[in-house]
Amino acid sequence: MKKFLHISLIVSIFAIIPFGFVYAQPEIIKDSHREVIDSVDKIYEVRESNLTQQEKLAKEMELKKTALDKVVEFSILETENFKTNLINLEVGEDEFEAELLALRDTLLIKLDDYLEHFDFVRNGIKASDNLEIVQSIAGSFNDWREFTYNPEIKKVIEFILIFQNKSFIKLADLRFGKIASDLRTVISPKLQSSIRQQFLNPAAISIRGAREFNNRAMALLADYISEEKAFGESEIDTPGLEEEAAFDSGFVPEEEIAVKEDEKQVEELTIRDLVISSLQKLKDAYSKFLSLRDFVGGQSGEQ
Amino acid sequence: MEDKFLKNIREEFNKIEPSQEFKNRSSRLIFSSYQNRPINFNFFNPSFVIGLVGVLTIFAVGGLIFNNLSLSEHSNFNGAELLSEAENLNFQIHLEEAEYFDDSAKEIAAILKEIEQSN
Repeated sequence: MKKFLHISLIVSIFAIIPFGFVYAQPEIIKDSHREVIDSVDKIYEVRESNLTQQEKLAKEMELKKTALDKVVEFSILETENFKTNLINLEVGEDEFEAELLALRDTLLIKLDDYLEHFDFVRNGIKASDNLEIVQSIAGSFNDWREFTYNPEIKKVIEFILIFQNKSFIKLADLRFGKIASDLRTVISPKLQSSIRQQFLNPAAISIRGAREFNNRAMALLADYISEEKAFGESEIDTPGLEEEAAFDSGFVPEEEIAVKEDEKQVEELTIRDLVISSLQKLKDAYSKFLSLRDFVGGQSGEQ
Repeated sequence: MEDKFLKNIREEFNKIEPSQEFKNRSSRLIFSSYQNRPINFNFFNPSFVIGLVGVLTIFAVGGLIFNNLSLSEHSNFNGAELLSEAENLNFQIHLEEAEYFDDSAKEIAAILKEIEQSN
């Protein structure tokens, strides 16, 4: 019977694995990506063909139109996917998260604006009847993606990463609680303390570390809120100011430079770095759970 | 989204049951004791005791069968490697999504440049 109880502890270690929270790239986006690549390949094929220069130009205009439309279509699917993922996150548990909830709403509004913009660009492509126009639409769409779309999508991804990671941390907590409660009812008190020292305490420290990293990432995410506000209040860009301040600093003693470099290293950790560190901590916690499972399995085998 | 691994465990759980002969005997024991009579929860009532013993035996036998299934016959359930692989994979996919966008953004920029340029 005791062996059976050991098994129930093993099952509790197994029972909650963080599945189901991860989204893979949907097939429809992969297909669309493939279509983009194929449409570009066709442009190259025509270029290298034996057609006359005039025929090539006529074909190129149609093929570039198609390729450009495929790129916009891909961007639409990508944006819709990010929108769905952003909506599906559980945000707003406390006051701090209420602020982030507002950031999510801002990002969602932007994504909707982008979807409208894509329609506008698509109509422009459809209406274009010469190669120069198609080429100039491609140029301005590229600039728009680089300076408007990509930076905001980066924020959306960071938002998603942080809150998905938060759900992983919650699961690890849940798992920890289940194991700890099974431990109290199933394992002899003598063995309990050694299990706590060897497995549970280090796992708890790792989970705490994971939460700290994720909270730091959240704090960086919150910085975007003040950025948005500053941008809303004044649209005038003053990039020169920071550089001037750097010039004014003049001579700095060496020790101070060392301190500043340390600070810089801390500051330079991006949201993604922090989420990666947090995930690493979670992995550590899970590896402790797994070792505990093996340990308990070994114990029950000996009896 | 259900993982294959969890599915396996669920299937193993579904397989756990006492033998037919044991089931028949236990259910005969349990049901024969209170035909057409109200259930009496007096612990000293012999029919209640017999029923309770029957139920406990089902649990015990079920537990033993489960024990054997999980530890000896099904190495998947006991495979630490499989579990850690599954978990690692999930953690990686989690980040791959972000990396995928970085790559595709660069690629799309190059393609748009290509379309923009006149031949």
